[in-house]
Amino acid sequence: MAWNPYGLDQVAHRLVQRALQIDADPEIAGDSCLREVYEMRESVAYGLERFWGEQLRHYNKKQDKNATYWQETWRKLVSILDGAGVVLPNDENANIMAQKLWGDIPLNETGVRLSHENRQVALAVLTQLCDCMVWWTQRYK
Amino acid sequence: MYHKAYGIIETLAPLHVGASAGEETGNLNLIFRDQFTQTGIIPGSSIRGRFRADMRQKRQWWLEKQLKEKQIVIPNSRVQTVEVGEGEKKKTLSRLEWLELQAKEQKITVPDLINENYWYGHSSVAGQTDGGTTEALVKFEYASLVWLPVFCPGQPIVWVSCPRLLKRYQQITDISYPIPKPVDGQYPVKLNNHRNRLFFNLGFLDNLKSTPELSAWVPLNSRVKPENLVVVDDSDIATIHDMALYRQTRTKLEDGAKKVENFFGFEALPEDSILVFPIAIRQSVSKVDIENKIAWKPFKETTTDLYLGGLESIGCGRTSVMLSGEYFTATSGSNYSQSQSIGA
Repeated sequence: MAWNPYGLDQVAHRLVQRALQIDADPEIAGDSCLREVYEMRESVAYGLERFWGEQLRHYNKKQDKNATYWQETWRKLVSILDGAGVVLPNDENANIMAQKLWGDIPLNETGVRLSHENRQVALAVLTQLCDCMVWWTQRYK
Repeated sequence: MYHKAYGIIETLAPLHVGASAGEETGNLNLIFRDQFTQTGIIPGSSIRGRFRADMRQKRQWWLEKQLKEKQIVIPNSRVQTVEVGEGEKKKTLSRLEWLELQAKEQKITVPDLINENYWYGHSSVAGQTDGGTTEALVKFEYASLVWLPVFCPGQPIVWVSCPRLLKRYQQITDISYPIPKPVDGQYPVKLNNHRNRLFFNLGFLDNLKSTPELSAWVPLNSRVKPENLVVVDDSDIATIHDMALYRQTRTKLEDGAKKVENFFGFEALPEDSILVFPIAIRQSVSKVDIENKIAWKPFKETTTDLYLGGLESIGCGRTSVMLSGEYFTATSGSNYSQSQSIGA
């Protein structure tokens, strides 16, 4: 098969359902995260780096629910693109993440760095994913 | 029997031909689609309507000119309707009807060359047998897509087609190449920089096979010169087509306040789409206008800008239409022989 769909609508639906779970979880600190997706859609205009960086800001403000939602969305993006042969960084360490995102150091042991082209692909897919998530959020709001 | 001709449409702005606001389509105004590939089409009736309207305007201008020469006082061009007669016989005529009436009184006959009723058939008239309708001398079939531009990160645009659409293009233009199609899951592409994968918003294509001959399938005189082409399966074109469409959400505001009354969306074919439609011209029509035989010549040139479809007041519908094929090859010079030999 040569046409490979990313299955974004399904991923988006699951992420939105996950947001509801996060909101219902008393163990996670912070306010409701369901509507964070509007912020996500807005932030893609500023690029991958800022999208990823938002989770740090939420953790610092003790908004763990929001941070978790952003983090899980990023993880999904990484796994979608992995299936398409595009490697995106996903490290716990913020410094390493920053260096990988800016292409300062290789993404993995193969020595490949994040290229401009792959960044464009990731951004296009992330934009579409956020659009799908906005649609599903409207249904659960 | 018919003379064969065809038209190539290139969209210079988004093109919406389909349902309009208020019709039973929910709040998304869809474009008309072909039932097999689910890709956008322009019905033959829409194309015919545009050609007819164009010629009617020419006839109106001609009538005005003739009447002016006969010293007839013509109402201001902004006047839409004219009242004639007095008392009980008083009636309101459209400006064109008024001009026709005056021309009849002056025994002015419109030349067939600019008479839309002659070429495209007469519309029905009350009180006449069969409504006074006539068979059109020129017939139009629907326009189907040949190439559709899609956003593709990194390229940044590729034009997509599928075997079924190319087959129709082949039948209409008599192109002699075998139809390119995906074989063994390998997708034929012609790319500026060959890559193994093409990414789109909703998925990606891999297993791409470099196929330089694809450029032969782009109309020769077309303004658009696609250098990034890909042919996908008939079953995949619908998904890619939906991803490629121009979509806009619009609002209707309340009359008295800046408050949204309702939301609605519309879709349109994006600019730089290429479509093709066949034209059949009755054999009785001369190819060349000699010995007072009449040839069909809808425009001065064979390529012209035309507005098609709806929503033109908000930036849709501007297209470039190129007429070509056997009928036009005989009437004019090298321009047409070139488009005849597409792919040669």
